Amino acid sequence: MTGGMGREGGLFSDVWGALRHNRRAVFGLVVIALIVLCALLSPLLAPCDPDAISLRAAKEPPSAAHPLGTDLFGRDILSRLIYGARISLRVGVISQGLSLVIGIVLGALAGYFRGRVDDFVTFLINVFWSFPGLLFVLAFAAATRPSIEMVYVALALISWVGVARIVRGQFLSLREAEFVEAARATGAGSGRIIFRHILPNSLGPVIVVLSMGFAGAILAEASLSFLGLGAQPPTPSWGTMIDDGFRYIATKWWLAVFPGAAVTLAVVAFNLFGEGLNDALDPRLRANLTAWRLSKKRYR
Amino acid sequence: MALLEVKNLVKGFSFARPFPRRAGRLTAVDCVSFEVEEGTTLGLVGESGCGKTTTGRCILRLIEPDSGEVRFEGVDLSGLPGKALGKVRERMQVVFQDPYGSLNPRMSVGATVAEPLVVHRLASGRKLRARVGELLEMVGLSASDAARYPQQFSGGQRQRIGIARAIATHPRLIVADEPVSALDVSVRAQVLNLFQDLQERLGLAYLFVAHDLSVVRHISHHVAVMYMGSLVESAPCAELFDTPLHPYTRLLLASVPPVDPSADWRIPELPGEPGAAVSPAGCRFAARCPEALPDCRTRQPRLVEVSPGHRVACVRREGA
Amino acid sequence: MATKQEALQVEGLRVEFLTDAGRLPAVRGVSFSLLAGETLGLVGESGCGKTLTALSVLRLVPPPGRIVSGRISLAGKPILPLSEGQMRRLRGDRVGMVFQEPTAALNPVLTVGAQIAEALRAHRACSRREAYDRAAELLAQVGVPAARQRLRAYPHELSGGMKQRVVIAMALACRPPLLIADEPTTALDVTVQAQILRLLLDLQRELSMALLLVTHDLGVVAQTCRRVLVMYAGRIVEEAAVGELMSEPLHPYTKGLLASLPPLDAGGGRLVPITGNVPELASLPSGCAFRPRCPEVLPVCAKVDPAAEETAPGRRCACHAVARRLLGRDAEAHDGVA
Repeated sequence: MTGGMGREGGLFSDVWGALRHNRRAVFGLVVIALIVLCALLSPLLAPCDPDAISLRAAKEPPSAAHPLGTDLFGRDILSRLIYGARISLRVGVISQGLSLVIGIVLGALAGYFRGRVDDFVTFLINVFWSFPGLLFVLAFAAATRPSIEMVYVALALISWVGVARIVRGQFLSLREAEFVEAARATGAGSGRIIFRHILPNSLGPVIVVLSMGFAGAILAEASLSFLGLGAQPPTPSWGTMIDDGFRYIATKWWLAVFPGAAVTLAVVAFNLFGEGLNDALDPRLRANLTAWRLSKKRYR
Repeated sequence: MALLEVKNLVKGFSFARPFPRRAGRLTAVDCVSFEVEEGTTLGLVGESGCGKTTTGRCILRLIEPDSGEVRFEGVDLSGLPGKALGKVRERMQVVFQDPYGSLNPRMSVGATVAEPLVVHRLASGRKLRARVGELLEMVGLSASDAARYPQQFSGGQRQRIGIARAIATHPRLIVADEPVSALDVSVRAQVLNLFQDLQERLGLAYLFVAHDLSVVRHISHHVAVMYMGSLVESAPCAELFDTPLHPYTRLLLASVPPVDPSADWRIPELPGEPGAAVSPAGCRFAARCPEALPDCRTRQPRLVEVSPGHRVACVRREGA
Repeated sequence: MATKQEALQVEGLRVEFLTDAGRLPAVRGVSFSLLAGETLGLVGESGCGKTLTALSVLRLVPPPGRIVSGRISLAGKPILPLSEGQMRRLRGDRVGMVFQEPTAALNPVLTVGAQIAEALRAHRACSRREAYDRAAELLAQVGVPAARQRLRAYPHELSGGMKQRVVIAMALACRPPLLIADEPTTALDVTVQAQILRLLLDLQRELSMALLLVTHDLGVVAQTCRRVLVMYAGRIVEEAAVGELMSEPLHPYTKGLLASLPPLDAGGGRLVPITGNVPELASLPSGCAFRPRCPEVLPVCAKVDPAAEETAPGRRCACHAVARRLLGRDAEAHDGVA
């Protein structure tokens, strides 16, 4: 016997219900799925070995044998793109994963315990926030040996701030929520309250930040590799591919344009998905999807 | 010995506002004393800002009182270390006002109701599930509701879930903070009946905080009235409503519009507003009291027992 | 046919919500009239459509809600065909509204005086000085002490009761002949509520204003209204003079509501609640919406939604059981409204 508004519980079904009506977000999700597939199934999807050098077939434009052409060393660009997805995703996953862990831990501590802990974490946030992102990564690279691992760490160091701020904000407001008080009155300790009550209710906005962060990470990796500071040859990273090919952009455009398009597409996809998630998590979702959609269309 | 004894409870809040610059101390609960006997209901009544909610939270130790004694089952709660306080929480529980905010939207109903049992390690596995089902049935829901989420229930049903959570550990006292105020009128009766049923079946005592006088009258055995942090009158229920002694109590009762249109309802004259500037030395109600004496502004009245069980804090009654 | 004696006439009002669950009927054919200078109570619980009905009179139904059909006339003048611009000229001038939450109705960054003056200058050509003078008068009229100084106060500096007085002053600034008050005292303390009710009644008398009072509190209705409409699930189920409604309710819902109220003059005992819950708009029962909870249900109630029938002059009731009992109506043969 239910008299309330029926929606099967859980974050996912709520969010999916809103997301699937947002065409741009679905497009983003589809592209992301494609990239993930490329990364996971690269050996199956790639027509050629990405490292197979053939000077005879070098710098060939798109053809039947090589749908996206070959690069300076005769390697198939399509295959390199597919394998390159691995690098990009790996950068995203590891850097955002690290930033998620750091951000949640610090944000939760600051928001829940407040006082001196909060002061310290806020200080850290302000310090890291004021670093211009890419420049920091460059400086980091200059100080250490250029490598892809360094890119992960550097990116995590600038991304955690976004996560931490959101988590901290959520904790600050949710710690006063009535269901948290109820848990306290039941005798629940801080640990249980943090992990079982506040954290699950904070994750929504965090996922949005992560999605945007993913986009940023891919772009940063491409930029760094382009500058020679990230992935090293012969690793097929989209950034190194652009680096190899950009000086031939006028004559042998396929060398740089395809990897460039891949980066652009990936970044756009993650951004669109992240925006769609943000809209889907809007508190008005709770009340009524159509009302919310109608309100979005107000300025048509 | 009463189940719950509160003596001279004091709780103040400091506040500082930067713009316009203002700082000070607000005494939300000022020397409040009362008892709750086993198996009975004490209705704690007052308007916004009177401190009834803060009093409830101090008793539950959700906030720390500044001074005063709170004795539960004979034990003073103020000095209690964490573990002993945990034991007390098994026997003293709470039901909140907001049916939409007091349940974690990301936790299933079963998990919410089970939480007190899990936290106090009283049951697990199959026994836990059985107990949760039993609790849900006791409050008028069904055991299969345990898998659902709060959003799928109406306000009245959510309050029942909150009540199921509160009775899970066999408490002796439940502090109910405005438990029916946010519910529709027709649903209120259902939940009030549930409270009464559970009191009879389980021998529960309630500290029932509310602002709706007819609800309080219906469910309480004793009633205490608070105004701006002080307890101004307390008495057995029928006596308080039939022969109120404190001018504020009389004002409260006179302000309720009766449901009978032929009743001759005189809207009381009331100068000022609650929270109006109050001279610290005198009775807090003096500025608005229709029966104020000059003494009332200079002297704090003491709570005196005027007849068995009936206490008033009023300068006019101190002679008695 | 609306007459000038009627400050407000509503006929067959239907309001719907456009949602992913389809078109949800929130107000399903509401008709009533309010005479000049009269106080009419509109009573019901949350979700019954009373607030939407009130908002419809001002044509302020928020999307995704929409007025689908019906006629609304203010002092004989139909308002549904009007343009938004024309409607705006009526709001505040011909009909004022007081909402439940005074804090939400006031702009926190404008002084109280500025907001009242704004209400005035929207409809009357007057200078700022004149508007402020009038605002001070209005504040005094609604019982705010030291009115002139209070003009410069910001909403957050005032208590709940004071804010509601300001809102009332704004609503009455242009002396509209009709005032709609939607739960004006629900958010206030009991003692303050009594004072605001007194204020509303005094003002109504002084200004000979018609008052539509929307509330769930039967006590408020009993002491302020002359006639009462009871709403359930988007329909008016009963209409009567207030004394008759309280002493001899006809509709099972009204009876159930009155029986479930804890009396102030006696304690203990057991309340008689109405079983079940208010139905969801998306899944209204077939026939009469109150059927699943009704102790007097008849077989016909599942098939035909009862229309409001006049059982006595000035009394209406939408119930098959009542129609059968009082009008000898054989509900099976009756052409009810589906």
